[in-house]
Amino acid sequence: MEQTQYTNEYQKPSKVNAVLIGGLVIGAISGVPGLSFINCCCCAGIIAGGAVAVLLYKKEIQNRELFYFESSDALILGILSGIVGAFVSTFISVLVYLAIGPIDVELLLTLLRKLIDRMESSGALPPGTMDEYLQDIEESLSRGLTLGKVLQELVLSLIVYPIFAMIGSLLMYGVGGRREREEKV
Amino acid sequence: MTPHSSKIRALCLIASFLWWTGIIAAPYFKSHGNDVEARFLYALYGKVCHQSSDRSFYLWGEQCAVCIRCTAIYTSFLLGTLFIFFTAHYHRTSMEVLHPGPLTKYLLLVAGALMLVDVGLSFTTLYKSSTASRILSGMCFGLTLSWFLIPLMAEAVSRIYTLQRK
Repeated sequence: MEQTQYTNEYQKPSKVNAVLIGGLVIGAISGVPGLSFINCCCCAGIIAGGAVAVLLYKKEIQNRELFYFESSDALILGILSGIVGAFVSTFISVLVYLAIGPIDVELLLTLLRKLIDRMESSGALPPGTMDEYLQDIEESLSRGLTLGKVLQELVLSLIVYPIFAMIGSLLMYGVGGRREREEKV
Repeated sequence: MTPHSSKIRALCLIASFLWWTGIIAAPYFKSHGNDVEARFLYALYGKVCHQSSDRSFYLWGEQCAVCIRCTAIYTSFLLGTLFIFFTAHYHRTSMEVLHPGPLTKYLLLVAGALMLVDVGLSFTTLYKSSTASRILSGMCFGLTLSWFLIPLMAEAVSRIYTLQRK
C-alpha cells in the first residue's frame, strides 16, 4: 500500500527554528521595558510572536512542496513559542535590570520622563497617557531583583504567553489562507 | 464531524469562563481583604493589559483586573463561545458547518481594524476614545474572534488526537 509522504507527520520539517524565532520575538517585545508597552494593546507582542512562528514554518513547508500546513501545526507552534518566549522575556528582564543597576534607575527614569514630556509638548502624545506606565516602571525597578520575583514573573509568563501565542498562531493560520488537506492512501 | 468536537468546545468554554471570572475575582478578593489572591490575579492580568485606573470598571469599590476594552473583549468572547457550544450541541451540527469561512474572516479583520483605529487614534490629540467606543470595539472583536478561533482550535486538537492514536 503506497503511503504518501505528507501523511506521515514525522517527516514534516522541524518546528524548532520557527518556535525559537517566534519565542525570541515574544521575549524581546515583552522583556525590554520600552517595547513591553506593545503588550498592553491586547498582548499584540505575544500574538505577533505566535504569528511569526506560523509564517516561518509555513514558508518552510511551502519550500518542500510535499506537506500541508495544518491547524495542529499552528497550535503546537503557538504554544511552544509562548513557552520559549516566557523564558526569554524573563531572561531579558533580568539582564536589563542587571545592566541598568550600575547606571542608576533615576537616570533612566529622568531620560524617559524628558522623552515623554517632549512628545506631550509637541502634541504627539496626549498628556498623562504614559503616567501610570512610568510609575509601574519606577516601582518595578525600585523594588529590586530577587529570585522569588524572577520565579513569579516566569510562572505568570508561562501561564499567559502560550495561550496568547497560540491565539496569534491560529489567527495567522486562519487569516493567512488554509489549504484543504488531502488524504491519500 | 471532527472527533471529540463537543469535548473541545466544552473545554474552550470552561477556559474562557475561568479567564473571565478572574477579571471579576480580583476586585472581589481585594475588597474582602484577600490580598495574596488579589495580587496574584492583578499580576497575571497585568501581563496582558495596561490596567489603567481611569480606563477600567470598578466592582466592590476596586478596579477590575483588566481595562474596559479588554473586559468587553473577554466577555464577548465568552458569550460567543457559549453560543457556539449550545448551537452545535442542540442543533447537532457538525463543526464543519460552523467552520470559519471568508465572511467570518473578513468580519474579524474589520472588527480588528476598527479596534486598532480606536486605540491608535486615542494616542493622538485628534480623537479621544470613550467608554462606549471601547466597549463597542471590544465586543465586536471578541465576538468575531470566538467565532473564528473556537472551530480552528477544535480542528487542531482533534487532528493532534488523531495523529497520536495512529
